[in-house]
Amino acid sequence: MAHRESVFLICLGFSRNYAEAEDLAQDAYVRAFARLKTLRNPGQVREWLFRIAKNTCLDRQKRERNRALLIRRWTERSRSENEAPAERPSDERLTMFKTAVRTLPKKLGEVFVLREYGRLSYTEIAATLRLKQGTVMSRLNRARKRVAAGIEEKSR
Amino acid sequence: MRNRTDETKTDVIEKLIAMEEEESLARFRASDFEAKARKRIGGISGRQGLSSLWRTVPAAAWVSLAALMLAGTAILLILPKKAPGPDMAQMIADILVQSPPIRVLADHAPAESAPQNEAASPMGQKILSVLLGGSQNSESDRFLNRNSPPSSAQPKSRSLSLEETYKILIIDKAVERFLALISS
Repeated sequence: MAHRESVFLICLGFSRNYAEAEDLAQDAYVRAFARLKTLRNPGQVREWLFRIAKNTCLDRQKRERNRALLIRRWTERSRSENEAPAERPSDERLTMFKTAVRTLPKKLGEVFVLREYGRLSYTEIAATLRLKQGTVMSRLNRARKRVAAGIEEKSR
Repeated sequence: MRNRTDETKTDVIEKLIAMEEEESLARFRASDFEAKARKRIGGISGRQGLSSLWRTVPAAAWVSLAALMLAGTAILLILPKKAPGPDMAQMIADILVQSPPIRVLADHAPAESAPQNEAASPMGQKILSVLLGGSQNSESDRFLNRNSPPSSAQPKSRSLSLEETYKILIIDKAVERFLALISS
């Protein structure tokens, strides 16, 4: 299975913990298999696969947000209670970092995760997200600043 | 100065990511991800195979199946429903008891009609016995007794005209058929 570690790392960037990342990576491969017919250019299978992984993660986040919203409305419980994962990173700074990444706007978050977790080059990110390389660079810069600011703010 | 601060921030981010990756990647490599993914993909491909099989069935077959189902539903709606149960029979019997012609029939029931009743079905017999004053425990009997004067005070039955007898016989036949229908 090609590129599975990169797919897993991208999923790890979008998810809260290991278990969720592994599940998302499996989902991404299942989705890729189901959509093999949509692969027009076999030379760009890597970008195609990363795009599917990214969309799988974002779809899951969206579903979870909606579910959490519904649960909050119905039970009047706080989000932190409902979203408490079974497995949390032990390091407090890591928790703050993950929260900062997850609260990034979608456009910045996807660039950040593909670069920092997936270790994709600017060109690959541009191909995956169908953006210009300059756009990728500027978004990545903004994303890094926001994440750093988020960590600082929470550590105060 | 500002560039140095940015570099420090980037370093912090990279360190945190490296920390997370180190542990997670080790676990990921140890887990049999490929087997798990293949298992899930196998399940999906099995379902896809099944769905492609369904797709191979020509559209005409689906159309004819839908038409058959529609026809079946229409027949079910048109056909008379199942005969009512014993409770319903009792209820109908009570209603019939209260209707005037049947009461007349009950009043004028001849003694010779007993063998004829024996020939009817058990349910019909039961209802007829209720109609013709068999058991004193039923509500219809109590109703009849309540509405009618004591037997000692009852006037003698008058003889019926031919037209009245004919009318009663027709009603009797209809009731008998109806009871036979619901008891079958």
